[in-house]
Amino acid sequence: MKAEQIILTKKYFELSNSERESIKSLVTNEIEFDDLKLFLLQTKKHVKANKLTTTDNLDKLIFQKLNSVTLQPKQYWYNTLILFLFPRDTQFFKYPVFQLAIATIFLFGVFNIFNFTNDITESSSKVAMNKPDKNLTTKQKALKYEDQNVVLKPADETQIQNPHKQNKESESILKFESDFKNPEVVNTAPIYDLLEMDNVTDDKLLDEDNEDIEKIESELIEITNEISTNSESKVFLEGDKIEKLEIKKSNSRKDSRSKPKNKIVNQKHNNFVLESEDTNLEEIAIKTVKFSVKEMAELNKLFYVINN
Amino acid sequence: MRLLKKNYKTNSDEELMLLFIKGDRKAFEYIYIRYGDYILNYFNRKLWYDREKAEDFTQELFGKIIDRPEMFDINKKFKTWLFTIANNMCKNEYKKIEIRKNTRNELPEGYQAEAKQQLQDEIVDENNFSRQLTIELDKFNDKHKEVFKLRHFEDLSIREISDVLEIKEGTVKSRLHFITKELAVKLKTYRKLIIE
Repeated sequence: MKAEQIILTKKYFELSNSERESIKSLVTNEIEFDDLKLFLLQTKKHVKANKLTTTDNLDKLIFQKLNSVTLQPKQYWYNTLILFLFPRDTQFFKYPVFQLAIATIFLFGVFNIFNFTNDITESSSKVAMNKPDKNLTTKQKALKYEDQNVVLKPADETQIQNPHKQNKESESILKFESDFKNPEVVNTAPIYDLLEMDNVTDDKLLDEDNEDIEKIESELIEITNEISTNSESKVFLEGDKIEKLEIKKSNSRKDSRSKPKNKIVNQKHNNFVLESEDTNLEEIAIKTVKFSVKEMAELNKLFYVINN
Repeated sequence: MRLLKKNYKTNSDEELMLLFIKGDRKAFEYIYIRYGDYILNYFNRKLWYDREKAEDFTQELFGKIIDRPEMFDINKKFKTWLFTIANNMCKNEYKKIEIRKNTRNELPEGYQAEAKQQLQDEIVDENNFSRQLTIELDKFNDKHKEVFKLRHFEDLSIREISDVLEIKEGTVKSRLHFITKELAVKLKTYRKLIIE
C-alpha cells in the first residue's frame, strides 16, 4: 500500500506531484490528508493495544493433538540408498552392492595387476634410453652427450664378440673422451717463420744458425751431386709454388719396381713442396733455397728416406 | 538420526508445510509460533470479541491442519490458504447463528446488537476511540468491513486480501479506499486527542 505509506511517513507540503497523484483517490487537500494520517496512526495503535496472544492452555492442547497423531515417517535419503543397495527378498549375489564391489575389484586388478597403460609407456621409454649407441660415430656421441658428463665406458664382457676389436674401440673411445675434454692446442702456424728469422737481430743466434746452415748445405751439395749425375732435369722448389721441369725417368725400371713407392708430401706452410710421380726420386734435383734450421733438418730426413 | 541440523527459522511457510507433510513435527511447531496469535486475533474480531470462542476456533483450525496436512496446495501461499480456512469457518458460524436466530428469539452469546442510536456520552467519549471505531465499522456492509479488517487488523496486502476473498485487486482497492475515507471523516471528532 504505497498510498498509506506516503500518508504515514510524509507531510503534505513534502509531497511531489507524482505522489499527490497516487493518493488522489484518498485525499484531495491538506485537511483530508491530515485527517486520514491521524486515523491510520490511531488504528495501528488500537490494533496493537488490543492484540491477543495465545495462552499456555491453548498451546498445550494444540501440541497434545500434534503428538497424538501418527504422522508419515520421516524419509531420510540414506534409507532409500540402503534399500537400493540391500534389497529385500533377493539372493545375495543379486545385491547391487555385491555387484558393484565385484566390478571395482575387477577394474582395480586390470589397471594394477596386469600393468596396463602407464607401465607400457614407461618400459618403452626405458628401452629407448638404454639402447646402446652402436651405430653412432664418435662425433655423434660427443654431440649426444655434450651436455652430460657421461663417461663412455667400454661395453660389458658378455656383449663382446670380438674382444680385440672391442678393446681397440674402447681404447679409442677413452682416447676420444680424453681428447674431447682436454683438446690439444694445435698450432698450425709454423714454429719458425721466415719473417721472424728476417727480423732476428741477435748476432749470437744468427751465428749459430749460420754454422748449422753451412753444415746442411754441404751435405745437400753432396746429395744433389749424386742425384744430378743420373738426371738431366732439375726441380725448383720455391715457396708454395712448384716449378717443375722435365723429369726423365731412369733407365733402371727394375730398380724402381723393387723400391717402394714414395709418399706424397704436401706441406705448403713449410714453404717447400715435394711432389713425385711414379719415378725414382733420384732424378729429382733440389735447388738450394734459404731454409730455416728445422726445415733443413726435415729435408735431411726426407732425403734419408728417399735413399733408403 | 540427523546428519545435518536444520534451521527452521530461515524456511518459508511453504517449506515448513512440506516438511510437516513428510513427517517433521518440529516444522509445524514453527508454523504455530508464526500464526497462532494472528489466527486468534482474527477469530476474536470476527466472532464478536469473544475470546473463548476465538481460542476454540483457533484450536479447531490448527487441529484440522494436523489431521490433514496434505490438503495444503503447494502452489498457493500458506498465509492466504490459512486465512481462507479461517474465513470459511467464520461464515459457517454466521450461518449457524442465522439459523439459531430464526429458530430462537434470543441472541447467541457474544453477539452484540447494533446500536441504532448512539448515546451522547458515547459520542463525546474522547478516550474510547477503539469502541467508536468498532461501532462505525459495524455500520458498513460485510464486504467493506472485511476488507478493512483484513488490511488494518490482519496486516494483509492487497493481493493477499484478493486471494482470501477471491475478488480482484482493483475491487479490494476501491472498497478499502472508500471505507478508510469514510471512517477518517466520521472519527474526526477525536482529532485533537489523536495528535501525538
